[in-house]
Amino acid sequence: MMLPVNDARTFKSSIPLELDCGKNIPRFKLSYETFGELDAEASNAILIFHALSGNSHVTRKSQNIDAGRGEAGWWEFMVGPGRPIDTGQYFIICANVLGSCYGSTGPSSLNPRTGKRYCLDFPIITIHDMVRCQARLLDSLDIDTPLAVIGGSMGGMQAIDWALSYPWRTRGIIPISTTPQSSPQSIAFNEVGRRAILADPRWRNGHYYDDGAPPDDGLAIARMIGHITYLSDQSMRQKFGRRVQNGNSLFQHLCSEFEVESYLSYKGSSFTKRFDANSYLYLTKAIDYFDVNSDSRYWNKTKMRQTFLERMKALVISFTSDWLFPSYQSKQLVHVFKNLHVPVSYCEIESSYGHDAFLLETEHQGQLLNDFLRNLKDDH
Amino acid sequence: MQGTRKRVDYDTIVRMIPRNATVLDLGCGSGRLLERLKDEKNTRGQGVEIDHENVKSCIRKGLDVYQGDLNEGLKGFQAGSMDHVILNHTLQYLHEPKSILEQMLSIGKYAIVGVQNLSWWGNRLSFLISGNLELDPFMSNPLQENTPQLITITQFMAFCKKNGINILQKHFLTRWGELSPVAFPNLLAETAIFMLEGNRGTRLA
Repeated sequence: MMLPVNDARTFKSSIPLELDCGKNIPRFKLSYETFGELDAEASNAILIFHALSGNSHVTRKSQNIDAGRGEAGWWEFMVGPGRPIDTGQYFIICANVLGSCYGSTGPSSLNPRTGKRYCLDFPIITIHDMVRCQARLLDSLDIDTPLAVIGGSMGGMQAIDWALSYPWRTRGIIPISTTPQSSPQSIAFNEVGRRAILADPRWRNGHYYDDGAPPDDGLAIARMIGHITYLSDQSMRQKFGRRVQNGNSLFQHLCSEFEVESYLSYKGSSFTKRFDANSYLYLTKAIDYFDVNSDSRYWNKTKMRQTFLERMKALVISFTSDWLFPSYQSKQLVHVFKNLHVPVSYCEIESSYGHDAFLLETEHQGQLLNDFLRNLKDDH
Repeated sequence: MQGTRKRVDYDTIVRMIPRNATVLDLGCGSGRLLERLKDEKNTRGQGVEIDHENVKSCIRKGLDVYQGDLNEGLKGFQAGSMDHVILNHTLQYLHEPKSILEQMLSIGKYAIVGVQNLSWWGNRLSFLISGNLELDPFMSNPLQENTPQLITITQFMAFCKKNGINILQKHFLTRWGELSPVAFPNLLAETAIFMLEGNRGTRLA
């Protein structure tokens, strides 16, 4: 299951990739898109990392936005001509992560060693493994040091990993709605999602690509659970209340009656058309493993690392109603940066949208990013 | 909120801080003082501010700012990590000013505290004539949740003495300028700015 993304290009690396788990893959590809123009000094690049179910299509090409053509990107209100992350000024790169299913190497790809699909032979991957692939992508584009790395949720974890693994390879970092360490609550929700997939008889130990149907029921339930954690009590009350769908009366049957139920089941089933169940298993695991504190590579105190860390600037953003990665976790991230002597700003934006707020809140978030990036660029 | 009026207190604080110092400004507002310190003294600054719009103004100015409530404490700042910790025009709005002072003296080598003087003659006169106190020319906010605590220069200095806090500098100001050393600061000064010597680990009584 590989989903094509409009306008995406493919980066291929045939140097084996040693993974955190100790295994390696002989080669990989990443699907990526770029927007805007790279300046002569290659100093205006911004690397954007997508979240769990995202892909490289962060926005549409300028000409498509203007003409209203093509599929809207997942962060389109933030990225584009004249938008907060202005493609008229910056060169934006966004790549689909390793392990995903939008054109990058993942469990549905062919294993060059066997000539068959990886399925569960795909090695366990981490956030750092995803980031290392993208570092190779930037090498291939001759971009040494992007102006900034930006991401929300799982994308924020990649931004953190990038900045702490390669402090000489960015001047700014903007982690949004994220955490320095997956909490037991977030691991718990991911585990229930994974169990839903594993319990689907069509999952068949991950071998469902070539014959039979994929485990859509399990994946849909996983997505429904995930989706609940992306909303908030308030946003659900505002959006659905206790309304019953189609004005039907209650007490009729045991299936979906309330609007919130049909909304979730719609979200679940539409997700199965655009995502691969095995990828969901691998990516949620990578999220669960993420822990800045326990990972010694981030705390390696060489003088060179320290020099670059102190030269960097971080902007941490959280949203008040996010209960998946609540503000206290962003504050913990601020303390991580402080302990590493990274100059850091922190801003908590009022919103009722829950974890999804980073995908929806335009005004304050946009202004903050725009101002922060402009200052980074001017300081250069 | 504070407009563009001349800030004698900022002028004084900027003079007090040496070049290239590290500075933490608690209740930094829109970042005007931090920006001046950065421009005029090349300081490396960090602000703490509760108001979201003010935080945005700081980011716009390229300052490092932490959105937070001083009343929740300063846990993230390590002892001895700053040269100067500033608390200007903010002391009177804190729920537990003593606890913040303690933390300031631990985090900074020096603490700079700006105190609004309740017993300034202007306040006395105003109360005598109108029965009202327009205590804070920058943010007067009667009966709101942030109604300021009332404090005088004499009280603040007595507090320092009682706790063995060494006052290294004192500057007595009116809104028009700094007073040369005066006999009755408690009467004549509208505000006072003190530089206190950092004193790790002292518990204030």
